[in-house]
Amino acid sequence: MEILPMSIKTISQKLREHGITPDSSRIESEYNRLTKEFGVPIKEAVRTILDREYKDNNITPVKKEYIAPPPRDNPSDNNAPELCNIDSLKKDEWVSLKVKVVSTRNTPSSAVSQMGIITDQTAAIKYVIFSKSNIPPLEQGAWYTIESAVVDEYNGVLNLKIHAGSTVTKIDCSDPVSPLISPIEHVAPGITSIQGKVTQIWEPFSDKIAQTGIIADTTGSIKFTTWANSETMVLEKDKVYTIYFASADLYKDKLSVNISNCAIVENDDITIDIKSTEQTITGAFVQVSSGSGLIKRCPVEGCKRPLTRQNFCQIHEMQPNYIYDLRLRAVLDDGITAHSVLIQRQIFEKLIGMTLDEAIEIAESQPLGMSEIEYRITPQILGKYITVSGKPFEDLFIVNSAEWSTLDTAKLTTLINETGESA
Amino acid sequence: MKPTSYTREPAVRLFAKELAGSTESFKESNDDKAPTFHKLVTGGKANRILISGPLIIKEKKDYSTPMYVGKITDPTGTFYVNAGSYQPEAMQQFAKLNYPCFVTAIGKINSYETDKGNVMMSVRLESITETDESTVHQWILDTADLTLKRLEQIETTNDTRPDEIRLTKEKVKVMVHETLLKIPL
Repeated sequence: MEILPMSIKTISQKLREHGITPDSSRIESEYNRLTKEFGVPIKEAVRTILDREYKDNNITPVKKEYIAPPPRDNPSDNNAPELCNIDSLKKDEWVSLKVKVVSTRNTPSSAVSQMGIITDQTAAIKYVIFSKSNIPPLEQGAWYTIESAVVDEYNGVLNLKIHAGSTVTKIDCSDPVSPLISPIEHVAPGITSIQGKVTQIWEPFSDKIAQTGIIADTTGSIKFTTWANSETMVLEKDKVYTIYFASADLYKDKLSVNISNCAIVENDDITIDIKSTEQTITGAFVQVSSGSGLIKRCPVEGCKRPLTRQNFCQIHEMQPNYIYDLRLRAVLDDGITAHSVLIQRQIFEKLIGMTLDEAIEIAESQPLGMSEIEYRITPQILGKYITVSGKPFEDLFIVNSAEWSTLDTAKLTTLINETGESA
Repeated sequence: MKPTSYTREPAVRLFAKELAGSTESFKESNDDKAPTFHKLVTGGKANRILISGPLIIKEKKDYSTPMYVGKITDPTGTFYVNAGSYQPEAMQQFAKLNYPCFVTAIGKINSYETDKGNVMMSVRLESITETDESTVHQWILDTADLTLKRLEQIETTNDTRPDEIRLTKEKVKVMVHETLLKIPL
């Protein structure tokens, strides 16, 4: 099954908000056509599809324009404003809320005096206080009523703008808030609370990142990031955590959660069995691609790029002290789809029955050199049936385990019986 | 405009008898390099196919440039395959084979009309290599399975001419059944 890009879900969600039942297959094909065939940027594609859908359905979407604030109540008036729930907010509304401050942080911009996350019993949302408003910063953990704030949207996520026209009053309240834990599969851009097991921790690629990795529950997995300037606990691999009010963001069509400054609880009493995200393909090899067999790799630490025949690395230029490696790049075809697969050395050695040392010896003693290995393995594997497990990475399927197939006699018996009945 | 990303056509599994009846060809776009498909008897389309079976005839034709032609059989009939100078790798592989032997072949369907107006189906090879009998049996089972799956698809997507489809389905099921019985258990 193919996973729908987040932006398609965003489109469907927006259409539902306008009472349109989205035609997902049509949206998907239009989206794919725009993004894949024409290379339209994702945002532009989303906008184009939405505009078309709105037009088809005779809906005039609310344009971002100045909406006059409701007449300010005379301060002597006693009528309390109507309070909204966070989960029912809509863009460009002027709202009043009763909320608890979950987290706060300072901002780099002088126009904004404070940012943070507030919650009520229904949901959580980011807020921004503008410096011009002269509203004092909110206290973490305290309850407030916020009147006449504006709901805005950025990158498809709602936030609350507290400005000079807003009134913020600290109130006495000790209502507990119990954030809803969202299955990771259903995490959408915005503020979310999740519970899951850390399945991978990666080396941060930038000084600005304190920690990054993957957290997973039984429904799915998501990348998490902690920024270096935050005071967030460091997560450990294979431990289960509950993370409250993390902010899920969409970047390049992939969701990730920012857990900086989040309240995190370690749950050592909970065990989660993560279902394997590995996929399995059974098919026949229909092509051995170039760059298979014995290759030379760049010896520079962390590079490992394959070298050309002249020992040239794209990045590090001439590398006479190359490292040999074995790999198979091939097309595995299940009759429906042609998958490009990559099989690395260990599995290669097992499947082909040739070790790296043997391959080097052949290459060094044969006139064709390294190509000899590719020529030898090609007839050995073409047309052979195999079952591989692994993960797709961009256009390539990286194989983690593989086994040559044998005749599936159970399937044969079943098919004979099935076709025999109707014959 | 960005060029469309290239998707390799899958190697469809079909028996020789089905190929012989799938004479109608079409293109999905006017692009010069657009692949030619043949409309299959069991529904669906095919451009590239995978064959596994005994190579029973191999012949070198000395036209202006040399060309190898051959026959590969399956339990339902014969595939006519060829490799010319535009398929140098397949031609070399073909030249090395000592027939009869079990082979696996991958190629694209090609059809041409004879002087008498009959449409002949052949396969222009991309590769042809020797294989073992077990692989041939696996191919028969795989082809039977995927052929039946295509049949199921007709049922759900196309209900014009119901009688003709019912007849096709019965015929194909009988063919598949008889084919499967050829695999020794």
